[in-house]
Amino acid sequence: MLELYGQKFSSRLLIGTARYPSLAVMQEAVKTSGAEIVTVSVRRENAGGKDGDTFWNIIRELNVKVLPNTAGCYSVEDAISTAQLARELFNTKWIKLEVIGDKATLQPDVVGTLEATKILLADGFEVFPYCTEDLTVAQRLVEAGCKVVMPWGSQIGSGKGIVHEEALKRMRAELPGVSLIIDAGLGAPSHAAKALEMGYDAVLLNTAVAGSGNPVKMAKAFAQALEAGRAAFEAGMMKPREIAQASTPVAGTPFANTANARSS
Amino acid sequence: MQKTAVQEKIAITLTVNGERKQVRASSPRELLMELELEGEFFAIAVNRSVVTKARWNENVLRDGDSVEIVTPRQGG
Repeated sequence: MLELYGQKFSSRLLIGTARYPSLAVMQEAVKTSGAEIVTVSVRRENAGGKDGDTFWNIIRELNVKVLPNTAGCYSVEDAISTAQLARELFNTKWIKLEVIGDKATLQPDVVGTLEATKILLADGFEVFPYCTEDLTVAQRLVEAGCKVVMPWGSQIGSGKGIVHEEALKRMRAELPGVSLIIDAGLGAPSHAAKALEMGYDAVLLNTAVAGSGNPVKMAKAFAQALEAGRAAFEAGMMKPREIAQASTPVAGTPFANTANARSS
Repeated sequence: MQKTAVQEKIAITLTVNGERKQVRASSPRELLMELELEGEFFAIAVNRSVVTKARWNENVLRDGDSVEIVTPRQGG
């Protein structure tokens, strides 16, 4: 079971609700994915508040746990204010903390993220910080009190998968008691399987499903990949070898030691 | 004419979601009505401090305040 701040979940997928062709497709994709947690945002009202109502009613029908984000925040101050609005709006202590440092790469401002994390934890939030593969930053976040850390696989929306594999493997090894979620950059179900094979507890993705040719079908593909990846991790994978090793027994091979045998 | 004078006297200028507006509301609930926001799911901050729904009837709005009114929206 996936455990996040004391709550248990059987699905290891956290799925975004943005960028789908329609709200109906989003709803169906989330259902098909089996995800029990969805990410949402807070935005200034428009259309007389009706847009928010329509969206929120659909989310409530899904009967899932909501993880609001601070997407689009470039300062500690904005992230904290947004988190406080999200807590009021969604009635949850959970916050996916994004303090973005660069408009082009959307990479996290890890210094600002750590600062905001400390303030939000002190204010009673349960923080899900979006960070890079930097081990020291992850360690500082854990020291500050985070039970969950969410390093990127690669840049948001890039679909490149797990670019920072060595560093992320090291992070997993160094933080055994922390729930680690690969957030951002996943594009294919095999990327998600890989994350779980590496011992990551879950993945968070959005565009990989929403931006695919068939979001509902892709949601199913990710669910299956995650199941496979987790099972592989639990089973314990073989260690890679430098040289070949025959899988079929060598003893009793027909024609062995006859005149034409070339093997020594 | 006298009525107009009274209205002018009690109107305040707020920055609501980044736009300057002249309003007569003095509480968040009055502001929602005056702006004809009919949705149910809002959170409101005045000068970056959240005003919880339980306090929406309180006269917390002052001339020059900056108000954010937000709703749930799609996110990743």
